[in-house]
Amino acid sequence: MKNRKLEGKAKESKRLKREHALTRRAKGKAGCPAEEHSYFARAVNLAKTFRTVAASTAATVILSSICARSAEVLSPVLSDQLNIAVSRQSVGELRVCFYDQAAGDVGMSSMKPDNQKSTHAQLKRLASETAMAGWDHEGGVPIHAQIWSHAWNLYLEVKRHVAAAPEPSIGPCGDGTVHLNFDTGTTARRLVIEVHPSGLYWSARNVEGQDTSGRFVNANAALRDLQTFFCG
Amino acid sequence: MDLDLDEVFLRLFRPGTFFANRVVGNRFDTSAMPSNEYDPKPDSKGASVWLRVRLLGGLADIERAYPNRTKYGVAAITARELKTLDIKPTHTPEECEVDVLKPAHYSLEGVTKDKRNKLLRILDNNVVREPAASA
Repeated sequence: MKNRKLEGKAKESKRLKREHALTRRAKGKAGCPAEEHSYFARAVNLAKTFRTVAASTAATVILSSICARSAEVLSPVLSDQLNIAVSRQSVGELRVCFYDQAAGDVGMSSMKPDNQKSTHAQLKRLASETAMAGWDHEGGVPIHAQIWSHAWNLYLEVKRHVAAAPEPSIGPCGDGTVHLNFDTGTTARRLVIEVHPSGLYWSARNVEGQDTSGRFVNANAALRDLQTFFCG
Repeated sequence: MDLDLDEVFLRLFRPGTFFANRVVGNRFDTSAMPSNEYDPKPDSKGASVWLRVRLLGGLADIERAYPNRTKYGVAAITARELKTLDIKPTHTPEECEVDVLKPAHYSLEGVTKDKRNKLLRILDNNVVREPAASA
Protein backbone atom coordinates (compact mmCIF):
# COMPACT_ATOMS: atom_id res chain seq x y z
CA MET A 1 0.00 0.00 0.00
CA LYS A 2 2.76 2.35 1.09
CA ASN A 3 4.74 1.48 -2.03
CA ARG A 4 1.78 2.31 -4.22
CA LYS A 5 1.41 5.69 -2.52
CA LEU A 6 5.10 6.38 -3.05
CA GLU A 7 4.84 5.38 -6.69
CA GLY A 8 1.87 7.72 -7.10
CA LYS A 9 3.79 10.57 -5.50
CA ALA A 10 6.78 9.92 -7.72
CA LYS A 11 4.56 9.94 -10.81
CA GLU A 12 2.89 13.17 -9.74
CA SER A 13 6.26 14.78 -9.05
CA LYS A 14 7.50 13.66 -12.48
CA ARG A 15 4.41 15.11 -14.12
CA LEU A 16 4.85 18.44 -12.33
CA LYS A 17 8.51 18.55 -13.33
CA ARG A 18 7.54 17.97 -16.96
CA GLU A 19 4.98 20.74 -16.82
CA HIS A 20 7.41 23.17 -15.20
CA ALA A 21 9.99 22.35 -17.84
CA LEU A 22 7.41 22.96 -20.51
CA THR A 23 6.39 26.27 -19.00
CA ARG A 24 10.07 27.28 -18.79
CA ARG A 25 10.45 26.39 -22.45
CA ALA A 26 7.38 28.45 -23.23
CA LYS A 27 8.78 31.43 -21.40
CA GLY A 28 12.26 31.17 -22.71
CA LYS A 29 11.72 30.01 -26.27
CA ALA A 30 14.73 31.46 -28.05
CA GLY A 31 14.06 33.37 -31.23
CA CYS A 32 10.34 33.20 -30.73
CA PRO A 33 8.65 36.49 -31.65
CA ALA A 34 6.56 38.13 -28.94
CA GLU A 35 3.27 37.19 -30.58
CA GLU A 36 4.19 33.53 -30.84
CA HIS A 37 5.54 33.66 -27.32
CA SER A 38 2.17 34.74 -26.07
CA TYR A 39 0.33 32.10 -28.13
CA PHE A 40 2.67 29.48 -26.80
CA ALA A 41 2.19 30.40 -23.16
CA ARG A 42 -1.56 30.56 -23.58
CA ALA A 43 -1.61 27.23 -25.35
CA VAL A 44 0.30 25.58 -22.54
CA ASN A 45 -2.07 27.01 -19.92
CA LEU A 46 -5.12 25.92 -21.88
CA ALA A 47 -3.68 22.49 -22.40
CA LYS A 48 -3.07 22.08 -18.67
CA THR A 49 -6.60 23.18 -17.87
CA PHE A 50 -8.12 20.79 -20.35
CA ARG A 51 -6.00 17.88 -19.26
CA THR A 52 -7.14 18.43 -15.71
CA VAL A 53 -10.75 18.51 -16.82
CA ALA A 54 -10.49 15.48 -19.07
CA ALA A 55 -11.94 12.46 -17.31
CA SER A 56 -10.27 9.87 -19.50
CA THR A 57 -6.52 9.45 -19.68
CA ALA A 58 -7.00 8.69 -23.35
CA ALA A 59 -8.36 12.16 -23.90
CA THR A 60 -6.27 14.21 -26.19
CA VAL A 61 -6.45 17.92 -26.51
CA ILE A 62 -6.29 19.26 -29.99
CA LEU A 63 -4.99 22.71 -30.30
CA SER A 64 -5.19 24.97 -33.20
CA SER A 65 -3.84 28.40 -33.57
CA ILE A 66 -4.53 31.18 -35.94
CA CYS A 67 -0.91 31.96 -36.33
CA ALA A 68 0.64 29.49 -38.72
CA ARG A 69 4.14 30.04 -37.43
CA SER A 70 3.07 29.60 -33.84
CA ALA A 71 1.50 26.26 -34.73
CA GLU A 72 4.85 25.09 -36.01
CA VAL A 73 6.41 26.11 -32.73
CA LEU A 74 3.73 24.41 -30.67
CA SER A 75 3.55 21.17 -32.52
CA PRO A 76 6.72 19.30 -31.60
CA VAL A 77 6.87 20.39 -27.98
CA LEU A 78 3.26 19.89 -27.05
CA SER A 79 2.74 16.64 -28.86
CA ASP A 80 5.79 15.10 -27.21
CA GLN A 81 5.28 16.19 -23.68
CA LEU A 82 1.58 16.70 -23.11
CA ASN A 83 0.08 14.21 -25.50
CA ILE A 84 -1.34 17.06 -27.53
CA ALA A 85 -1.59 17.36 -31.26
CA VAL A 86 -1.74 20.58 -33.16
CA SER A 87 -4.33 19.59 -35.67
CA ARG A 88 -4.99 22.67 -37.63
CA GLN A 89 -4.04 26.25 -38.18
CA SER A 90 -6.46 29.04 -38.39
CA VAL A 91 -6.26 32.80 -38.33
CA GLY A 92 -6.87 35.18 -35.47
CA GLU A 93 -7.41 33.30 -32.30
CA LEU A 94 -6.43 30.32 -30.29
CA ARG A 95 -8.94 27.52 -30.47
CA VAL A 96 -9.04 24.48 -28.24
CA CYS A 97 -11.22 21.45 -28.54
CA PHE A 98 -11.36 18.00 -26.99
CA TYR A 99 -10.87 14.82 -28.77
CA ASP A 100 -11.89 12.12 -26.38
CA GLN A 101 -10.82 8.82 -27.86
CA ALA A 102 -12.77 6.82 -25.30
CA ALA A 103 -16.03 8.57 -26.08
CA GLY A 104 -15.16 9.08 -29.73
CA ASP A 105 -16.28 12.64 -29.26
CA VAL A 106 -14.89 15.31 -31.54
CA GLY A 107 -15.83 18.89 -31.98
CA MET A 108 -16.36 20.36 -28.52
CA SER A 109 -14.71 23.69 -28.38
CA SER A 110 -14.03 26.29 -25.83
CA MET A 111 -12.84 29.81 -25.74
CA LYS A 112 -11.03 31.76 -23.09
CA PRO A 113 -12.51 35.13 -22.11
CA ASP A 114 -9.48 36.87 -23.59
CA ASN A 115 -10.41 35.30 -26.93
CA GLN A 116 -13.75 37.00 -26.70
CA LYS A 117 -11.89 40.23 -26.22
CA SER A 118 -9.80 39.60 -29.30
CA THR A 119 -12.91 38.69 -31.31
CA HIS A 120 -14.55 41.89 -30.18
CA ALA A 121 -11.47 43.89 -31.13
CA GLN A 122 -11.42 42.14 -34.52
CA LEU A 123 -15.07 43.00 -35.12
CA LYS A 124 -14.51 46.62 -34.15
CA ARG A 125 -11.64 46.82 -36.63
CA LEU A 126 -13.72 45.20 -39.37
CA ALA A 127 -16.65 47.52 -38.64
CA SER A 128 -14.43 50.52 -39.19
CA GLU A 129 -12.89 49.03 -42.36
CA THR A 130 -16.25 48.22 -43.93
CA ALA A 131 -18.11 51.43 -43.13
CA MET A 132 -17.53 53.01 -46.54
CA ALA A 133 -18.88 51.92 -49.92
CA GLY A 134 -16.29 50.04 -51.97
CA TRP A 135 -14.46 48.78 -48.87
CA ASP A 136 -13.62 45.53 -50.70
CA HIS A 137 -12.31 47.39 -53.77
CA GLU A 138 -15.14 46.01 -55.89
CA GLY A 139 -18.13 48.16 -55.09
CA GLY A 140 -18.82 46.57 -51.71
CA VAL A 141 -21.96 47.74 -49.90
CA PRO A 142 -21.08 49.51 -46.61
CA ILE A 143 -21.83 47.43 -43.54
CA HIS A 144 -23.62 49.49 -40.93
CA ALA A 145 -22.56 49.48 -37.30
CA GLN A 146 -25.95 48.01 -36.39
CA ILE A 147 -25.25 44.91 -38.46
CA TRP A 148 -21.92 44.43 -36.70
CA SER A 149 -23.63 44.92 -33.38
CA HIS A 150 -26.22 42.24 -34.26
CA ALA A 151 -23.42 39.89 -35.32
CA TRP A 152 -21.56 40.42 -32.05
CA ASN A 153 -24.67 39.87 -29.94
CA LEU A 154 -25.50 36.71 -31.85
CA TYR A 155 -21.93 35.49 -31.39
CA LEU A 156 -22.21 36.02 -27.61
CA GLU A 157 -25.56 34.25 -27.49
CA VAL A 158 -24.12 31.27 -29.34
CA LYS A 159 -21.16 31.10 -26.95
CA ARG A 160 -23.55 31.25 -24.03
CA HIS A 161 -26.16 28.75 -25.20
CA VAL A 162 -24.64 26.41 -27.79
CA ALA A 163 -21.44 25.05 -26.27
CA ALA A 164 -21.14 22.40 -28.96
CA ALA A 165 -20.94 24.88 -31.81
CA PRO A 166 -17.43 25.33 -33.19
CA GLU A 167 -15.81 28.73 -32.91
CA PRO A 168 -17.13 30.67 -35.91
CA SER A 169 -15.12 32.70 -38.33
CA ILE A 170 -16.76 36.08 -38.72
CA GLY A 171 -16.39 37.85 -42.03
CA PRO A 172 -17.82 40.84 -43.88
CA CYS A 173 -19.32 40.23 -47.30
CA GLY A 174 -19.39 42.65 -50.23
CA ASP A 175 -23.19 42.47 -50.31
CA GLY A 176 -23.44 44.32 -46.96
CA THR A 177 -23.90 41.29 -44.71
CA VAL A 178 -21.79 39.73 -41.96
CA HIS A 179 -21.30 35.97 -42.01
CA LEU A 180 -20.78 33.73 -38.99
CA ASN A 181 -19.33 30.53 -40.37
CA PHE A 182 -19.54 27.53 -38.05
CA ASP A 183 -17.30 24.98 -39.69
CA THR A 184 -16.55 21.62 -38.10
CA GLY A 185 -13.10 21.66 -39.71
CA THR A 186 -12.96 17.88 -40.04
CA THR A 187 -15.92 17.23 -42.36
CA ALA A 188 -17.87 19.12 -45.01
CA ARG A 189 -20.52 19.84 -42.39
CA ARG A 190 -21.03 23.50 -41.67
CA LEU A 191 -23.64 26.09 -40.88
CA VAL A 192 -23.43 29.73 -41.92
CA ILE A 193 -25.56 32.51 -40.47
CA GLU A 194 -25.74 35.71 -42.46
CA VAL A 195 -26.66 38.85 -40.59
CA HIS A 196 -28.57 40.94 -43.08
CA PRO A 197 -30.37 44.28 -42.57
CA SER A 198 -33.66 42.45 -43.13
CA GLY A 199 -32.96 39.50 -40.81
CA LEU A 200 -30.97 36.32 -40.33
CA TYR A 201 -30.36 33.89 -43.19
CA TRP A 202 -28.72 30.49 -43.00
CA SER A 203 -27.06 28.04 -45.32
CA ALA A 204 -26.01 24.56 -44.29
CA ARG A 205 -23.87 21.85 -45.80
CA ASN A 206 -24.18 18.28 -44.60
CA VAL A 207 -21.43 15.64 -44.44
CA GLU A 208 -22.27 14.53 -47.99
CA GLY A 209 -21.70 18.09 -49.15
CA GLN A 210 -25.34 18.90 -49.95
CA ASP A 211 -26.36 22.52 -49.51
CA THR A 212 -29.61 23.92 -48.17
CA SER A 213 -30.52 27.44 -47.18
CA GLY A 214 -33.30 29.48 -45.66
CA ARG A 215 -34.20 32.24 -43.28
CA PHE A 216 -34.52 32.27 -39.49
CA VAL A 217 -37.65 33.72 -37.98
CA ASN A 218 -35.59 35.27 -35.18
CA ALA A 219 -32.36 34.88 -33.18
CA ASN A 220 -33.92 32.27 -30.87
CA ALA A 221 -34.70 30.08 -33.86
CA ALA A 222 -31.09 30.47 -34.97
CA LEU A 223 -29.83 29.30 -31.58
CA ARG A 224 -32.24 26.39 -31.53
CA ASP A 225 -31.23 25.23 -34.99
CA LEU A 226 -27.54 25.62 -34.19
CA GLN A 227 -28.06 23.44 -31.16
CA THR A 228 -29.85 20.81 -33.25
CA PHE A 229 -27.29 20.99 -36.02
CA PHE A 230 -24.30 20.41 -33.77
CA CYS A 231 -25.82 18.26 -31.02
CA GLY A 232 -28.38 16.30 -33.01
CA MET B 1 -19.21 38.34 -77.45
CA ASP B 2 -19.40 34.56 -77.31
CA LEU B 3 -16.90 32.87 -75.06
CA ASP B 4 -15.21 29.58 -75.65
CA LEU B 5 -16.38 27.26 -72.87
CA ASP B 6 -12.78 26.35 -72.12
CA GLU B 7 -11.87 29.96 -71.32
CA VAL B 8 -10.60 30.37 -67.78
CA PHE B 9 -11.61 33.13 -65.38
CA LEU B 10 -9.60 34.10 -62.33
CA ARG B 11 -11.21 35.23 -59.13
CA LEU B 12 -9.09 37.10 -56.59
CA PHE B 13 -10.16 36.78 -52.99
CA ARG B 14 -9.32 38.70 -49.85
CA PRO B 15 -7.08 37.32 -47.12
CA GLY B 16 -9.26 36.29 -44.20
CA THR B 17 -11.83 34.57 -46.41
CA PHE B 18 -9.79 31.40 -46.90
CA PHE B 19 -9.02 28.80 -44.21
CA ALA B 20 -6.42 26.27 -45.26
CA ASN B 21 -7.13 24.06 -42.24
CA ARG B 22 -10.65 23.16 -43.37
CA VAL B 23 -11.59 20.34 -45.69
CA VAL B 24 -11.26 21.09 -49.40
CA GLY B 25 -14.58 22.44 -50.61
CA ASN B 26 -15.17 24.37 -47.39
CA ARG B 27 -12.01 26.41 -47.29
CA PHE B 28 -13.69 29.57 -48.50
CA ASP B 29 -15.90 31.45 -46.13
CA THR B 30 -19.21 32.26 -47.77
CA SER B 31 -18.34 35.93 -47.26
CA ALA B 32 -15.74 35.52 -50.03
CA MET B 33 -18.47 35.91 -52.62
CA PRO B 34 -21.23 38.52 -52.51
CA SER B 35 -24.69 37.24 -53.40
CA ASN B 36 -27.50 38.82 -51.41
CA GLU B 37 -29.81 36.88 -53.74
CA TYR B 38 -28.16 38.66 -56.61
CA ASP B 39 -29.00 42.32 -56.53
CA PRO B 40 -27.10 44.05 -59.34
CA LYS B 41 -26.31 47.74 -58.90
CA PRO B 42 -25.89 50.29 -61.71
CA ASP B 43 -22.16 50.44 -60.99
CA SER B 44 -21.66 46.75 -60.15
CA LYS B 45 -23.27 43.87 -61.96
CA GLY B 46 -21.71 41.24 -59.73
CA ALA B 47 -18.47 39.84 -58.34
CA SER B 48 -15.41 40.62 -60.46
CA VAL B 49 -13.48 37.96 -62.34
CA TRP B 50 -10.70 38.28 -64.88
CA LEU B 51 -10.55 36.51 -68.22
CA ARG B 52 -7.11 34.94 -68.09
CA VAL B 53 -6.38 35.06 -71.80
CA ARG B 54 -6.93 38.83 -71.81
CA LEU B 55 -4.44 39.47 -69.02
CA LEU B 56 -1.51 39.84 -71.34
CA GLY B 57 0.93 40.36 -68.49
CA GLY B 58 -0.76 37.74 -66.32
CA LEU B 59 -1.58 38.42 -62.69
CA ALA B 60 1.25 40.93 -62.58
CA ASP B 61 -0.95 43.35 -64.56
CA ILE B 62 -3.53 43.31 -61.78
CA GLU B 63 -0.94 43.50 -59.03
CA ARG B 64 0.77 46.44 -60.68
CA ALA B 65 -2.50 48.35 -60.81
CA TYR B 66 -3.63 47.28 -57.33
CA PRO B 67 -0.57 46.59 -55.15
CA ASN B 68 -2.64 45.15 -52.28
CA ARG B 69 -3.69 42.27 -54.59
CA THR B 70 -0.29 40.66 -54.09
CA LYS B 71 -1.71 39.43 -50.77
CA TYR B 72 -4.88 38.10 -52.36
CA GLY B 73 -5.50 34.48 -53.19
CA VAL B 74 -6.37 33.37 -56.72
CA ALA B 75 -8.76 30.64 -57.90
CA ALA B 76 -9.78 29.60 -61.40
CA ILE B 77 -13.05 28.57 -63.00
CA THR B 78 -13.96 27.82 -66.60
CA ALA B 79 -16.80 29.31 -68.62
CA ARG B 80 -18.20 25.78 -68.87
CA GLU B 81 -18.38 25.41 -65.07
CA LEU B 82 -20.09 28.78 -64.79
CA LYS B 83 -22.59 27.72 -67.42
CA THR B 84 -23.50 24.58 -65.49
CA LEU B 85 -24.37 26.84 -62.55
CA ASP B 86 -26.35 29.17 -64.79
CA ILE B 87 -24.04 32.04 -63.89
CA LYS B 88 -23.31 34.46 -66.69
CA PRO B 89 -19.91 36.14 -67.00
CA THR B 90 -20.58 39.56 -68.52
CA HIS B 91 -17.85 41.76 -69.94
CA THR B 92 -17.90 44.94 -67.82
CA PRO B 93 -14.96 47.16 -68.79
CA GLU B 94 -16.87 50.17 -67.42
CA GLU B 95 -16.46 48.76 -63.90
CA CYS B 96 -12.67 48.79 -64.16
CA GLU B 97 -10.73 52.03 -64.03
CA VAL B 98 -7.42 50.65 -65.33
CA ASP B 99 -7.19 50.75 -69.12
CA VAL B 100 -4.88 47.79 -69.54
CA LEU B 101 -7.23 45.62 -67.46
CA LYS B 102 -10.54 46.67 -69.04
CA PRO B 103 -10.55 43.94 -71.73
CA ALA B 104 -10.19 41.28 -69.04
CA HIS B 105 -12.78 42.53 -66.52
CA TYR B 106 -15.97 40.48 -66.23
CA SER B 107 -18.77 40.38 -63.69
CA LEU B 108 -20.61 37.27 -62.56
CA GLU B 109 -24.33 37.73 -63.06
CA GLY B 110 -26.82 35.53 -61.27
CA VAL B 111 -24.92 34.48 -58.14
CA THR B 112 -27.71 33.62 -55.71
CA LYS B 113 -27.06 32.13 -52.28
CA ASP B 114 -27.43 28.51 -53.41
CA LYS B 115 -25.29 29.04 -56.50
CA ARG B 116 -22.72 30.92 -54.46
CA ASN B 117 -22.01 27.91 -52.28
CA LYS B 118 -21.58 25.67 -55.31
CA LEU B 119 -19.45 28.29 -57.04
CA LEU B 120 -17.17 28.57 -54.00
CA ARG B 121 -16.77 24.82 -53.92
CA ILE B 122 -15.60 24.78 -57.54
CA LEU B 123 -13.22 27.67 -56.88
CA ASP B 124 -11.94 25.85 -53.82
CA ASN B 125 -11.03 22.88 -55.99
CA ASN B 126 -9.08 25.15 -58.31
CA VAL B 127 -7.05 27.37 -56.03
CA VAL B 128 -4.09 28.72 -57.96
CA ARG B 129 -2.58 30.65 -55.08
CA GLU B 130 -3.49 30.85 -51.42
CA PRO B 131 -3.75 34.32 -49.88
CA ALA B 132 -1.10 35.69 -47.58
CA ALA B 133 -1.75 34.82 -43.94
CA SER B 134 -3.54 37.67 -42.27
CA ALA B 135 -2.48 36.84 -38.72
